[in-house]
Amino acid sequence: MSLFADTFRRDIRLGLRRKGQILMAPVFFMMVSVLFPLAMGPDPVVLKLAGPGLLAVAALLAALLPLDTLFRDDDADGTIDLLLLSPAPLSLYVAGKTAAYWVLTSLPLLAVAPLMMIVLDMPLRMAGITLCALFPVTFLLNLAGQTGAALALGTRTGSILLALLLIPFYIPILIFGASAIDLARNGLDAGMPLFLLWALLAVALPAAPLATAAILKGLNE
Amino acid sequence: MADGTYIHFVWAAYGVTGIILAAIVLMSILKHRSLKKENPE
Amino acid sequence: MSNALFALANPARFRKVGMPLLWVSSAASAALFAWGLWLALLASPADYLQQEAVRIMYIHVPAAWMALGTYSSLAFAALSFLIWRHTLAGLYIRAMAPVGAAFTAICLITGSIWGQPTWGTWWVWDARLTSVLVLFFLYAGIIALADAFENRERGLKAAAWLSLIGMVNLPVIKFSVDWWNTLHQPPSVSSFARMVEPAVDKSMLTPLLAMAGAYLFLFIALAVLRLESEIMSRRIESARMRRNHG
Repeated sequence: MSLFADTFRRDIRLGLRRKGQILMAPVFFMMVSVLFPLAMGPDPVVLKLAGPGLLAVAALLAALLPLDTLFRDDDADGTIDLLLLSPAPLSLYVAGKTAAYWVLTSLPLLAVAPLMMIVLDMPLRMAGITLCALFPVTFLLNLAGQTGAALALGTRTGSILLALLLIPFYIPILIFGASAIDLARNGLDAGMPLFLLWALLAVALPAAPLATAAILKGLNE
Repeated sequence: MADGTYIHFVWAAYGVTGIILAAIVLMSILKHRSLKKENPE
Repeated sequence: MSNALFALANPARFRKVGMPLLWVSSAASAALFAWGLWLALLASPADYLQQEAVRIMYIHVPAAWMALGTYSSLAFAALSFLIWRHTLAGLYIRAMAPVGAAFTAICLITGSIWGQPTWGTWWVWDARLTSVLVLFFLYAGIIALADAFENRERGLKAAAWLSLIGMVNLPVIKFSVDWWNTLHQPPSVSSFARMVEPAVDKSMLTPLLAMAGAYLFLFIALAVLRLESEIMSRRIESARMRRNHG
């Protein structure tokens, strides 16, 4: 367990030192949400139709943005090689990294989400249910993303390749996330997609770090 | 054949399929050839 | 079984089994294409509703079968590569992912051309079309990943992992897209869907199966040819490495 906590603490410390990188995801998220009404016009009807999906797409793009750096430094300075030699389970290291990455990039995003709801003409009483959807969405995006980052570790065309790899895995997350917010926006019951999101999270939370650890191990043999 | 309604679409679909299959067959054969030249038994 | 597969990884032995297989399946494929095309284009009746457009089905539906079947074979190869370390299985993924992508592309493009006369549009966000599009992205990812590394073995392993995870993810994608489609489906599409999926008549079944057979034998012939190419290029690579380092 201490490997998880050590990795988490170290990555948070390193992340807080690089302010630009933490701010990148929420700033990107806000940029997409603000640019869209400017492009499509401020018509409340359009915003009501497009707002929920837009929020989910913006979260997806923001999660993708800094992903290729996730394991890069640890690979370059030999941390991963060292961990592979030690008996400690690599999956705990991966889980610690993902948790830190989520706190650094997704938590600020969730914090500005209500602000973006105002911009997209969504009633603030929906903030609870929106966050209830965006929380598993961002976490699932990160879990899928870390697996992709491990697969693409050591390639030169990191970002573009990652986007290509991850589209099929992001699609179910996007569908359920956007549907949940959309159903709630139209005053309908969003229970089904929310349940599916949290169920996916319950499966992916243990499965993704194990798979990622196996990939890191397998690729570095 | 009947009166030929929509026949253009049929030609287009068969044409595209033919082009794609021909392309992958041709590429496979050419790659195999060039590798064989480089790698005499 | 696994020993027999392992023995095939020997290039000389592979050629001994592969060359006859290549010729037989090429010939079978050519014959079935000739028969199937004759049936599909000339000897089968036009549909009452769709007129001639129904003939697109004979190349479209078998392509969908091949697209899915090829993906399953990739996942199976990935499993045997990662668990039993069959080198040939790793090479199979690299060799056949482009073929699977080609069948998927055929399925998408012919489906789109078929959609214009029957649905009145080139593209409908129908659940099945969307799933096949996602399948195409999966193939594209595997092809890109297999080529992205300087170290060949690493590329093979990464592509194998991606094929495997993709296989696990496939039902999730399918379910989500179906669910999404029923949530957003415009009513007109379902009636059109029935039109495209008529109870298959016997006069349609024979050309359909003939074309499916033609595709399948073409797939086998391509598998032998492309696998041998992969084996050769691997040997050339390792010979070059030995020269440079030894």
